Order: sequence, then structure tokens, then C-alpha cells
Amino acid sequence: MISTSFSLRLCRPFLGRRVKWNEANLGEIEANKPVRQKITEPKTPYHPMIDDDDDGSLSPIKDFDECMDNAEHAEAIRTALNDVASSSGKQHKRSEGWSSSEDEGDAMEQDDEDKNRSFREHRRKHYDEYLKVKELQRKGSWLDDEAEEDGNDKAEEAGASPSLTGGVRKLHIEADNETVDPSRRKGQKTGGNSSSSSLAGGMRDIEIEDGKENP
Amino acid sequence: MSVDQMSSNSHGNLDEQISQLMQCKPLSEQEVRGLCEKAKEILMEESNVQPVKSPVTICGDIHGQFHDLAELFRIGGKCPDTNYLFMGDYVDRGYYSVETVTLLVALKVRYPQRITILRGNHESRQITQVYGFYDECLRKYGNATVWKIFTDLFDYFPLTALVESEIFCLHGGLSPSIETLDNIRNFDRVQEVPHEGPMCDLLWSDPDDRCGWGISPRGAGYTFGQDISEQFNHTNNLKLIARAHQLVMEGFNWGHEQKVVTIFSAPNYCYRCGNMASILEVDDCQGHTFIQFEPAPRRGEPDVTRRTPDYFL
Repeated sequence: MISTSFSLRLCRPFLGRRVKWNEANLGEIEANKPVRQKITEPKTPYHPMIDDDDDGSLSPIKDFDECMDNAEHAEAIRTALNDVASSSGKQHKRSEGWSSSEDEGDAMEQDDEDKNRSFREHRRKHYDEYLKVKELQRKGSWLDDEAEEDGNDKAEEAGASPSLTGGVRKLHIEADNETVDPSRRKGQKTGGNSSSSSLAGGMRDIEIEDGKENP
Repeated sequence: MSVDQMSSNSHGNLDEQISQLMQCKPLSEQEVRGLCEKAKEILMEESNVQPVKSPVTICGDIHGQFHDLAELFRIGGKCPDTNYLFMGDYVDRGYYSVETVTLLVALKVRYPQRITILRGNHESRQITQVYGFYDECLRKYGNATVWKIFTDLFDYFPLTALVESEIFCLHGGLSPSIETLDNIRNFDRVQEVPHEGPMCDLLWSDPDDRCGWGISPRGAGYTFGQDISEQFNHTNNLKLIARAHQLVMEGFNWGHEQKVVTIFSAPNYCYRCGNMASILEVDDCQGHTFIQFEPAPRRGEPDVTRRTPDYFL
């Protein structure tokens, strides 16, 4: 079975690249280092462990605020933490469909399946590339096939008609976001319409996007 | 540059062009024209099912992400020290389609036996007009001539490759009109990617969980199930179908009980998907290693994420 002979290697930039230290320089710095100023550490919401009188086991000091300079300070930190927690929650939800690599070990199977489905759905929408091309062809805003056939003229034609790219770009925006004013789109060639409809006619029916069929 | 100089374009000259491209600096229109003329002569001799020997490193979509291609070469080894097989989609979506495709074509001309470049569905006149390459050529050259030169060259790119008669490599997937590799060898590929039919399907199809053939939501090609892959591999004595064409978060993804693998080599696709990229190394003893990699560290590049259109809603 071919699978057994496959292995995986992970490359991260910087990791695995050799670093060469300048030992002489390091030694000199170590020998000549100045006297450093002592900095007393700021207080943090850490709970010091104390001996419990009852059974001799360790437990945190009960009153949180005892560890803090004042209760106000503690409240500020709580609020800040809550903000971070809720915004990162949102962040996670938004990118959920794309984060299959960040799955926690204890994530539920159902959750994974949902993520996978959502990912596939996003990907499917992203890859509707030919549908967009056909849409553009239907609208006749295209470097049409006649130009393609007499190949030599096409470059000049394409280069000399800035309105053409304008049309394509506009349509692209439309496809991604919103509708455009059709009056602002210059019809390139009226012949484009008929030639593009014949192109579209050659295509398979695309209405049944999600359905499956055996051709 | 005179015509004379063009025709006597030595390796020295080509090596200069390659090192210029490696710095992400595009060639002149005239240089592109000369390069593509040579490339055409090489590519037209290649088969629709181009035989490839191991060792070789198989790569998926690049999509104009030049700096990630440079990272790929740092990780996989420089061409020609490492042999490469690229499975298409060099252009569109990213910001450096021109530099990316010019570099790959230049490497093909310089080391024709060391690198194979297949055609992807984006190596097409139609698709490049919508997804960026056409606009990028206009922006970088002021006219569409370079776009025309490249899209004319794309017609000559081979459609599939066969590594040591075992791994069938192509951009998209299988076609209901193709049963054997000989079916593929027999058609005339030198044309724009058609709207339907076997050539279109090879560049557009995707594997699917559902059995049999299905209509593709892309609007071209088909979806094919495990039964189809098993039958095709059996008929053609293949161990594996290696293809690209689809974003996969880990950079590679097994399907159809390891009859099919998807390889995707554009990390953080569209500068925003957060995916890993990978390449598949096949060594001389037919051992296989996937190498995953992340986006190359960028310097002085604008915050591209915000400027990229929202492809994903």
C-alpha cells in the first residue's frame, strides 16, 4: 500500500536554519556588563498559596482583593479580560470555517464536521470561477471569440480598448459585491452577445448546483 | 535589444534574466517575447502525458504569490538541484503573476529536463481576464501584449504528467470521456481550454465524497467519486493521482482512500486564508515526503490583507 511510504516534514521559516554566535563578542559583553538597576516586580492577580490550618494542604488566599493594591484595579483587569475573551470568541466564530488546523484536541466530532462543512461551502463559493466567466459572456462584455481566432489582431485590440478592461473590472466588482449601473458599462461589440450566447449554449446546465447527476 | 542578440540569447543571458526574476523584477516585453518563443519550441515537443523521472518534487497552485514561490524553492531546493513538477495555476489572484509565470517559464527554457510545468485552469485567456493576470499585465507593461504572449504560450503547456509510470499528475481531475492515458495522449491540446469535453475536465474536475460522476459547482468539469478513481488507477496501473486545484488547509489532503491526493502550494492563499502550503517530494526509491510550509516572511510589503477583495464572505 502506497500510504505506508509517505512521511511528513514541517518547514517553518527560521527554524532549522543554523545560527552562528560570535563567541568572542559575547564573552567581551559578559565580562564588561554594567551594574544593572534592580526593578521590583509589579503586582499581578496571582493567588499566593497558603497552608490550610485544617488538613495542612495548600489552597489559595481566599480574598482576591488582598492580592491587589485596591479593588478598583482588580475590577479594571476583570473588565479588560472579559473584553479580550468576548472579542476573541467572536474572532473564532468568524474564522471558524477556515481554522481546521487550530482544532483543539478535545473539540467535539460534531463541531469538526460543522467546521468542515462550512469550509467546503466557503470554498465552493470561492471556486465558482467558470460560472462568473459565463455570466460575463452572457452579458457580452468580453474579448470575444472572433478576436481570439484571428490571434494577431487581438493584442492590439485588447491594448487599444481601455473600455474593455473597464467593463471586465466593473463586472468583477459586481460579481463580488453589488450590482452596477448597466448604462455605465460599454457594450464592446454587439456581435458579442450572439457569439457568447452560443458559447453558453454549449455548456452544461448549471441550475442544479448542489444536485448530483449521472451524466 | 536587436533581433540578433535575441536569437543568440546564451545561457549567460538567460541566467541573468533568472536572477533578475528571482528578485521579483519583471523582464522587458521584448525579453518575454524571446523567452516565450524558446519555451514554445520546448513545450510543443512534450506529450499530453509527459513522462517524468524521480526524484522530483510535485507542487500545486502558486497563484501569483511570488514570495511564497521563492520560499518554496528555499525549502524544496533550487532548480536545477531539485527537479520540479508544477501542476498549474501560476497566475491570477496574487499580486505577482507576471514575475511568477515568467520565472517558471525561464527555468523551463534554461533547464528543460529539470522542470515540468503543466497547464492549470487559470492558464487560459478567459479566466485570466477575470481573475487578475490580464489587469496585472496592463498595469506592469501598459498594454496587453505580454498577456497575449503568455496566454498563447499556455496553449502548449502539457496537460498531465506521469511520474515513474505510477503517479498521475494533473491540475484538476478525471473526465467521463477518458478511460485510459492513451485517450489523453491522442487529442490535440494546442488550443484555448474548451468550455467542455475531456481537455476541460482534466483542468477543472474535483474529487468528491459522492460516488460516480457529478455536476461541478464550478460551472466546468465534473466531480468524481472514489469508485471512478479506483477504476481509473486500476485500468492504468497507477498508484496515485496527484492533483491541485483546490485550497486545502494543511497544504495537502488525501482522498478516495489514498487513491487521490490534493497538493496546494500557495500558503495563506489570497493573502488571507491562513492555510499551510505543501509540496510532495518523491525520491529515487519512490519514497514520498510531504513538506509543509508557511508564508515567507515579507519585508516592506503593504498590509495586503485589507486590500484584497473579499473573496470569502
